[in-house]
Amino acid sequence: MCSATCAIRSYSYFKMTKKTVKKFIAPIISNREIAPGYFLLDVKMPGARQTVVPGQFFNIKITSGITPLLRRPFSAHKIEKDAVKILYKVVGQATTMLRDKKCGDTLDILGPLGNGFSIPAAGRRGTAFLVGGGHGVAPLYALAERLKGHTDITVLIGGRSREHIIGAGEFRKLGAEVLVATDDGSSGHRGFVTDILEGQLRRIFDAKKGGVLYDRGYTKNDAHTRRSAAVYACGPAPMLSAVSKIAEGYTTPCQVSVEEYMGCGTGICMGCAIDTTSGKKLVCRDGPVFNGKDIVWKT
Amino acid sequence: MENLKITIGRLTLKNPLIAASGTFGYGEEMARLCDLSGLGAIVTKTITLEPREGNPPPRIVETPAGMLNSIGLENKGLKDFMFNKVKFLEKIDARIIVSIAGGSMAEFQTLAETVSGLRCVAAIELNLSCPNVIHTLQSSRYQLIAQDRKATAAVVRAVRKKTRLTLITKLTPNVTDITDIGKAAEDAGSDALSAINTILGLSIDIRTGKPRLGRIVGGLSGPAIKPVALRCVWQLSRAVKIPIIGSGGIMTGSDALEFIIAGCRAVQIGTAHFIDPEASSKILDEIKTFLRKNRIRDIMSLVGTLAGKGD
Repeated sequence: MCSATCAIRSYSYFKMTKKTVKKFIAPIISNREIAPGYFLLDVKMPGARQTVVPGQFFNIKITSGITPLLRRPFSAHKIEKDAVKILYKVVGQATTMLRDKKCGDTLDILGPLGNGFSIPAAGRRGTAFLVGGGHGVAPLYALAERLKGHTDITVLIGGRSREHIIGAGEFRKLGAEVLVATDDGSSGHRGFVTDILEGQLRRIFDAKKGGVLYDRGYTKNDAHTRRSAAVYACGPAPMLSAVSKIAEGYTTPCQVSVEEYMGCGTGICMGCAIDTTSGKKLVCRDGPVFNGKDIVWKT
Repeated sequence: MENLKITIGRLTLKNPLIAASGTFGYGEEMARLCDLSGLGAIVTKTITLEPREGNPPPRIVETPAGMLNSIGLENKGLKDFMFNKVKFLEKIDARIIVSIAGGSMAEFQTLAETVSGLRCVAAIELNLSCPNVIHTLQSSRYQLIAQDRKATAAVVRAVRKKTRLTLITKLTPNVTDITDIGKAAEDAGSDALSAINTILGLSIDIRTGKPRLGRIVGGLSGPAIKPVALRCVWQLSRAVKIPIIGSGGIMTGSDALEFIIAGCRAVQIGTAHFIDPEASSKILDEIKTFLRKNRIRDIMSLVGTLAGKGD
């Protein structure tokens, strides 16, 4: 019986340095519906590509008034040279007001905030599994863009039905393999996206029982060509919990982007606390990206 | 140039704006987001003797024109404050008020005595009014110390013995008569009152039938509570002689001026900092503009000038 620890080698990571936070007034370039209920907001942010790390978020004041009172956090979906695209779903009062914003309107934005995904060091070969539930795919596109060329990318998207599968085409354009799961089977696998992940990791795991997986044509003497895998996920907490446990079962490193109600987004109010193996952590300051195994999951 | 200087006990502030406890961290966290030099003083996040984990999530929910919080005094304790937080506080221009909460008289005294030994600390604010923890001070039918006039007086007296710093008592609006508690604090030796802490509230998610906060109830803050806060400080200003520091939903310069007219010598900015870390400097500019327009030389001449305030 092969020990799980030898199956898949983990990535080595850059240490992401914390970038400066700033508040800016951003003109809206466009704000359009890309699927029923899902919108893509494009705002100007000079130097975005230099400053924003995939997985980081922006805390946006949608109106200057007191309704809604607090800022709302949104992750960066696409990071361009001087602009940031934000993918959001209209769910409540704040996102309804955001939907009505037009080209030329401005938004008061604080960010980029938090710690993004750790990107594997250049030159490392392997497969990155990007798992998104619903509009949880939002930060994964920016991540896929950064991973492109470093690793093979497989994107796993889950949703209630076909209409809730967002961004599949965009990921394919990047050259990623896209696998879909829907609750009702209206697109792709019928069931959970985590079923697909489990199958994918098992395939890699089984391919070289008792050893690591090598690139085709190489032997274990070529240590630098060892295959590696990593999982990155964003979506509802039960999905993240399941993804994290599956990844841990295959000793695959797993980063998850967590959502929690936030007061300030800057670590001051201590509102977005979650339980981790090393005590309470703040999603806005210590996350939103955490190692899956560090979180004490409730489900 | 308008005179914005005010005094509270032995504490002189260059302007009447104070960052409220729990909305400004220990200064350092905010320093990378805004310029601290515009503030008259900063009240630290409340420290307790031992570290506290705080309440279960969710801890924050937005409500109409306000927010409910249930943080539960999460902090790393006195030792961490002394070793890790003071270093930064020593460097800044704003005066430092340390907010403390104890589980016993002895804890209150230890906290007060220890922070009084620090050169950078200008005053102590007694947090007797956090609605998200139940006090363990003495057998009492009240959940908060500041709901119990005897307990309030006892804490103020005990701390008074241990410090010569300006002592500020933070009151809760969750009482029948706030002036009763305010007078008890004044008689026990408090140099000033701070009002109000948050109002106990509840928010329910009808889809699940569950409360939106982990601890069910939480403290309401933001513009929604401003009228209640104004009423409280106005009542206090007529009942006590010591200065009052007003807070509750101040978002703009005119909000702050309302509190000053109602009888406050200084005001605390809280929830506004969550939305805009630079809120205080904007509020200060708006106050200056108002004073200039109305040819008011000294902000002190505006304190407690509410017209038609007869009984």
